[in-house]
Amino acid sequence: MPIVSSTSSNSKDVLITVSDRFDFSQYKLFRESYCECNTPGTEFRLDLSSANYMDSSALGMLLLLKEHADKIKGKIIIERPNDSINKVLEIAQFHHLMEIVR
Amino acid sequence: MMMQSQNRDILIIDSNQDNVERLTQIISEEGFAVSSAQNGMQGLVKFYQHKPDLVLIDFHAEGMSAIETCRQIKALATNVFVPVLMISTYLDDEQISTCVEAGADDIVFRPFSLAIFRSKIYAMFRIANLYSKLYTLTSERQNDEELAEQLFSTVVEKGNVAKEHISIFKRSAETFSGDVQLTALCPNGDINVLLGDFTGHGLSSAIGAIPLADTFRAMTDKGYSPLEIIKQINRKMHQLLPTHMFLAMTMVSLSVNEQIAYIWNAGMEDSFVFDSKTGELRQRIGSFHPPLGISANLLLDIRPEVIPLTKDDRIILYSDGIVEARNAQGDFFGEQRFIEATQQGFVDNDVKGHIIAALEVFCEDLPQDDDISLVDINCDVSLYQALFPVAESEKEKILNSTIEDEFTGRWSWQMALMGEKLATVNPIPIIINQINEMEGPGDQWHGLYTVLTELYVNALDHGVLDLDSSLKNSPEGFAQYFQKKEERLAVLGNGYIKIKLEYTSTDQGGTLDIMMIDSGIGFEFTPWVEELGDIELAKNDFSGRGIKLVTELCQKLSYHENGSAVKATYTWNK
Repeated sequence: MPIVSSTSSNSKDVLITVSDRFDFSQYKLFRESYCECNTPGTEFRLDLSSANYMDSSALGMLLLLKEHADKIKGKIIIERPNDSINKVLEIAQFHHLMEIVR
Repeated sequence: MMMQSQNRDILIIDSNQDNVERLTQIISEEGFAVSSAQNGMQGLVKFYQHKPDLVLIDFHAEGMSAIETCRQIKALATNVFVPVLMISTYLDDEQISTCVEAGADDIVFRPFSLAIFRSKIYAMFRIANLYSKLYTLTSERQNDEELAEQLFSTVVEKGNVAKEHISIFKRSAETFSGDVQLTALCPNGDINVLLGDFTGHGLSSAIGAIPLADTFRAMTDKGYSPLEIIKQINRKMHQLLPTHMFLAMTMVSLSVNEQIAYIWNAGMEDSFVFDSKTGELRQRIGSFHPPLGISANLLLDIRPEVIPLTKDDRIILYSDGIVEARNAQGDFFGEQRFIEATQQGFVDNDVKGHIIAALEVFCEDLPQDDDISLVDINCDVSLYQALFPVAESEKEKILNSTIEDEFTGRWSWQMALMGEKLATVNPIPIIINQINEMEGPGDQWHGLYTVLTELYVNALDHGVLDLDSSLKNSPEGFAQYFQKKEERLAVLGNGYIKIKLEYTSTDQGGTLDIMMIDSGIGFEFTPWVEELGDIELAKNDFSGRGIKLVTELCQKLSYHENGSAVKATYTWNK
């Protein structure tokens, strides 16, 4: 599965793991991975360590996740992007919009 | 449901005359027209002549094999779907799959009942109908798209200026492009260039292009600063685009008078500044702001890269479609190949040609999966001065005209900016708008725009903010200068600038007296102004250019109150 998500027992933390290509073909799966999580203050951790490609439509998907997180006063943390994905995030200067941990 | 059979034509390819006669009878009874051929070759000829809507091929027809006949018929019918029914008494599994591979749409085994044969034919026509509907819809859509794209690019790109000095290349992945390239002339002769890349490509990514182009052009025309333009574009895109879409863009403002480029990069690949003589990559300007349209406001500390230019400099902008183009092995074209192709391009004086050729060699025949854009800006500012009415001749006209003009109309207008409004309001576009409203648009306002801007910037920077212009003597000092300016703008207190205009129209044209008073303590103006008269400004002297320009454009310029008040007279002939 290219996208797997798990919710912690207190349903406050959601870990979303994206593998392989992070692009528009993952749109539906990605959306489903978070849209049910409406607990206020949820922390969405997005583990990108096994993803090897990300395009600008994936940036758009991150913005949708951010919109959802903002609505429930939650938070996003992008974790361990590889070099090429980190470059995409850097060009888009996304660290101004969400936390990115290498 | 039976379909209308009148206009349907069926071709039978069979070497057995009895079979042909029997089939012909059944088909004719259904009201279809029939033609027949005795072997494959004849069948192809008839197919070509009659353009039938359905073909029946007996697997054992003589001459060319039924499989080959089927394959050739399918090859002949390129834009329309012509079903082929294979008929045989027996076929083994392999023969069946060969038939299907060759393009046969169904197989009927002998002996068959009349009912089965008839229903197969009607079922085939039903599929053919669907195909033809699909084909009509697709081609209609494509026509519409192409027409819309033509209108669209005309609206977006027709206003571009200086095409001979700013070379633009664009190739879309689909009919519509999500990349937008815009150029426009500011009232003071500066040039704004924008390369934008909307998320994705195709029609959906092109929706923002028209409002983007409108905002960019209207605001450049009215003399708004690049930062104000970017702010407004951001606001527009934020209102307009859905959450997951945004606009990455680079904007270059080429200041012709200062010989400086101001560059903003929001989410684009690095922009490059090359010395075209040596091929040296002098500077890269990386993205320093998220793409536009994501948040309602820009980041607070956005400030451009300030690049002093020489006449050999070239600024190269491109969209990621170029560096992320892939070859059959899945490798990216990449930045290094791009830089090398650009450098080679300088040698042969064909940057665009070299980059495109290198890209095509690299990707071979693979389809392009993103929009590709390239903008090559020649930074020799003297080229752009020609686009602009020359100050000198204007002045000479006035010197040669007789002064006894009859007054035909007068007005005066004033405004005062105080405290923090000095940091947020740019009065120059407001003034130019006022004048356009009252006197109508005209080329003479270009020079006036420059005069007003220079006087206002001086009053603000050296009067109210008390900044030392000698800081601007070095490229490093420039950054320091702008930083200080920002710091002091943040704590303005009781500072003010008052502007008064007095206009008199004459038979020949008009005269505008401009007075500007600021809250500063003034400066040593007399020696400084005299100096300007005979000293040619050094090439690297970034300060003082502005006032030199004002003296060229105005008939009179005088400082009062220790330099904290200035009076200029701008005159023009119709």
